[in-house]
Amino acid sequence: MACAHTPTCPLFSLFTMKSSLKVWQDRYCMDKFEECNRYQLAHAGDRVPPNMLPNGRSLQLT
Amino acid sequence: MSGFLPWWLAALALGAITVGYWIAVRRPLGVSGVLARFTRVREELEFDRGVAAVNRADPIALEAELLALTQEAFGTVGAPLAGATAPAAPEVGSGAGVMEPAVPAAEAGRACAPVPSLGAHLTFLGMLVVGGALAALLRGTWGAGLGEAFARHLTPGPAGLAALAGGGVLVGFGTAMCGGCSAGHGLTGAGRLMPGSLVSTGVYFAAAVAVAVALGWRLT
Amino acid sequence: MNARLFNHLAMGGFGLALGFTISVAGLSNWDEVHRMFSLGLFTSGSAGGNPRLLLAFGGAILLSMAGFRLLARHDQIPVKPIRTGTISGAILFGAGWAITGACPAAALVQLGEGKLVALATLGGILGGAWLHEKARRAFHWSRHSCVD
Repeated sequence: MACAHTPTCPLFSLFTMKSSLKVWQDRYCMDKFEECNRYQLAHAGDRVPPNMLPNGRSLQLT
Repeated sequence: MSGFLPWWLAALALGAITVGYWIAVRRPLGVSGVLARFTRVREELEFDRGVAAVNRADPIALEAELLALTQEAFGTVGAPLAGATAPAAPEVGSGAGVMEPAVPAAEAGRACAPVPSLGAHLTFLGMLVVGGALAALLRGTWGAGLGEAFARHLTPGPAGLAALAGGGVLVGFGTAMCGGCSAGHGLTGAGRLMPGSLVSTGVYFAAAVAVAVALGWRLT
Repeated sequence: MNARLFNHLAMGGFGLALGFTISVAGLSNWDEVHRMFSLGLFTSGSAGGNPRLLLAFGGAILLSMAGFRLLARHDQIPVKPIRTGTISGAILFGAGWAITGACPAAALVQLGEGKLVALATLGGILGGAWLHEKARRAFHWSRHSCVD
């Protein structure tokens, strides 16, 4: 089953834009979403930084 | 003119607004969550800035950075993982084949829009107030009391205000705790058959009935 | 028209429509709400029982179900699973709604209608939401946000 946050996760929609990014969805969103840093933060009750990737790295967005 | 809408017209209007809101704005209709944002403005403004930065980022630079981080994480760019599951979107009506790129979100039903800015949410709440004002002014009922039974038994004196404030705390705390209100759970959530919303709606309605009957018993 | 202006106009327009509808439907009237929660069976003061608002709210839910199914079947609306606070939160909300006669939207509408006592209700609602966030962080409850 997939992560419940896919409709609102900004990264999920980013990953949809390009086929080369699909690996993120395959690895996290659609499979092991419990290992996604964003999911863990959300589940623990914290705000998820919009630029955080599932593996904990952050987009710099300069 | 002080009568209220016949039940079917009210139902039609509320249903149309709920579904129309999703179609127009791609956000689930709800009020309690929006209102709660304004109890932590600083945090919400920071979150808004983050969302805007992601949305406003230069697409080329963003893509380059994403690909670099993908390379770093998976050591590969483009090759699907062995045993990868179905395409990104849950329901595919386009028949996308294995060789095609990831299914665009638009083909599999509309996705939810990002969180609106605090400003847009303020506009929404403000217009709720204006809507009430408009209705009251048109019907000549502006400034009327809360209702006949309320006025008789829970007057606007200290006891009445305390009851409203205390009840308000229950509403604010309860909606935050269950994650929705009459619109969020009742109209949108139950409308979409969401388990959390169906349970919430049933429970809050039952609780309200119990308390209302208790109050009614005291009133008559 | 850029996206930001559209957002403001659309959300403002729907807010206006919702506020107006809540007012003329009677959802911001304590007596009418009390009749709804009395299931139209119990008398309230001199007013008789009347299931009008009950039918309106129930009908709205059913129409909403039909509308989503017909027009948005494949859309990805954020899920709302059952979580720890779902039932207890709903009990508190229902109790508060019956006492105040106002859900959060209705409290704002009441303010617009000139019912200044709604300021007490709104103050309570904001206070309650603030209190919940404090409690949530202190006791490590999970988020139920319907916003993000």
